[in-house]
Amino acid sequence: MTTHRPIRRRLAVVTAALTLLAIAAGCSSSDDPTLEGGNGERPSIVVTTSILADVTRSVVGDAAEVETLVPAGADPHSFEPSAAQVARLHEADLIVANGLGLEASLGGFLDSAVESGTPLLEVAPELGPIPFGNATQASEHDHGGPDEHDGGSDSHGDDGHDHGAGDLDPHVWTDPDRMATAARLIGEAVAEHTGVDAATLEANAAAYDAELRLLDEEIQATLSVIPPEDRILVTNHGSLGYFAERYGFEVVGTLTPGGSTLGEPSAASLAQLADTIRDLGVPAIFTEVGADDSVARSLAAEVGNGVEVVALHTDAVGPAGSGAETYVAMMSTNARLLAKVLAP
Amino acid sequence: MTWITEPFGYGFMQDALVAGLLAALVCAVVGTWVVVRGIAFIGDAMAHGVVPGVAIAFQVGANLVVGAVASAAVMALGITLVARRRRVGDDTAIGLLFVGMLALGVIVMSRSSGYAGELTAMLFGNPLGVDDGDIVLLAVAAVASIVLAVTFHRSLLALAFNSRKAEALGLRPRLAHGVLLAMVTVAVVASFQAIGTLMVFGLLIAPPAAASLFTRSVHSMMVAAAAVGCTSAFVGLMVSYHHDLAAGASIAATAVVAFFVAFVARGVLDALAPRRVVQP
Repeated sequence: MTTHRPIRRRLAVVTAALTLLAIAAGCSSSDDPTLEGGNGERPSIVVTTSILADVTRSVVGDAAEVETLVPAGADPHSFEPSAAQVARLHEADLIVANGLGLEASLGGFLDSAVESGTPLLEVAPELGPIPFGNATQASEHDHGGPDEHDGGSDSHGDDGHDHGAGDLDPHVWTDPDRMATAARLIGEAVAEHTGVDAATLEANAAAYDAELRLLDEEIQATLSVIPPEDRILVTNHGSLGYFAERYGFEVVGTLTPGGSTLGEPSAASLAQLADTIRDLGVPAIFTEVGADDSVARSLAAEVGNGVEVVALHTDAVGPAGSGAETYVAMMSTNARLLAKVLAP
Repeated sequence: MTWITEPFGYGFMQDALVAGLLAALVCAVVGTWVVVRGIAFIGDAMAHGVVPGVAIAFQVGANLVVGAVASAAVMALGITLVARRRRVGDDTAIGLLFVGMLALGVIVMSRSSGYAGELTAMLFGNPLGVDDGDIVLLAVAAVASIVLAVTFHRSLLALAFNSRKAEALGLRPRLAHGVLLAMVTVAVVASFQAIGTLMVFGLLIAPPAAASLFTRSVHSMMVAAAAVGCTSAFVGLMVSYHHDLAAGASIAATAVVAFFVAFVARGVLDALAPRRVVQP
């Protein structure tokens, strides 16, 4: 009735098959993407987000290889690196990260690279971060010119990064002034850790700083058509806190609570938000390019009055032709979209 | 041989391999019972069952792992309680607790005022981000699950094949069911922490399933599952390195491919020996 073949023989079949697989896995490695990565002549810098990668490229120019860890458009929640990528992370001369919990989803492999001695620069904690959701309640949001942010210590590869997402908002990049400071910090860290000529980096950072000042002025000019009383925002998730602080906006409502991917708005809060939008005559709900905007759409339909749903580039630079190919393009496109919708 | 020595020249690859081998061992022992008992869904359910505990721990500033373990324990107790009713099947009990816990987790997280970001991702590890603490945790889980499996072997066996008879023999099938859930909780929660969900599911189900096609006793099934699981961890890491693919997913996919290789091999062997009837 039953088989009495030795188990060993059957195991042998499985083992043989798996061995073949292992050989297949290894043998076709002639077009190995990893080998060229770390050992090139140019120093290598790995940057976690596409926005910071763009800023880093502007500062280092062609002097170093800049790789983006989480590709633009990838959901950091389900992003999983390959072993080759982590190898490049370990071999990198410098890792540039945002910090303040934004990279928490990247698991422990950022930590392990730092432990193995790769220097890490986290920019957000150095840029005078503000509490999350601050802009929601804060009505005293008048900003007084370009603030001075103390960028005291430049890099800290020693203590690793804080995994506990806290009360500080990580979305610092929506303020170009803070990003100018970030560019300077990145330049200093690159000079310290990669041996790229410091004078070149300083010159590049200064040029980029000037570019960001121009961007800032351009945004101010673009937004000047919006009277102060109309500078109110309803956003999908709370990513515009720093932008609001810089340009005198008030975020009166946010659809997704807590900034968590698992967060869902409650029926009560949506109803309240609909009333707020109606009462204040808010003309649009701002979402992010690439994010699900179904709740925003149903809210807009609920309010009526021609409320629009407008997608801004807030979390990543866009592909070619999107008008948001670089950080500067992304910010000026966002400003134009805001002005178009919010101007009376 | 550089295609082996080069990847494992990195410390993180060695750590990933050690963690993978330990997880394969834990998952072989626990997964064999999970597959024999037919409750494969438990792994996925546990991963989501820890969410409310983690969310509450985050809100009150407690240790996230403590929250996860407490949450998993509540879930295991709930499943045992509900499944006591003969009319409610195991999978229904698991599903019920799964959705209940996940709903609670989303409710708690949605009331969060701070930046909760990727709360669950913080709890779930990645094979390439394993540290010494993770390896210790996995080693402890491996020892705990083996001790439980050895101690309750007879009860688990009786539970798996005939729970009425087990009761008559005084083997306490309900206790055995509780033990099985405790084993799953220990093994799965520890492994999530260390290596992430996808790899755990892959190693929990696929190697024991592959082994079940070629073995006739629980012991040999566990041994074969451990062999398949360890090989999958090794092959998966190699593939991830040489072909630039997501690591945890590569390991899970390799384990599933191993199952289908075994599946086809079983079919071929049966075709070559048509007189022999194989019973499940």
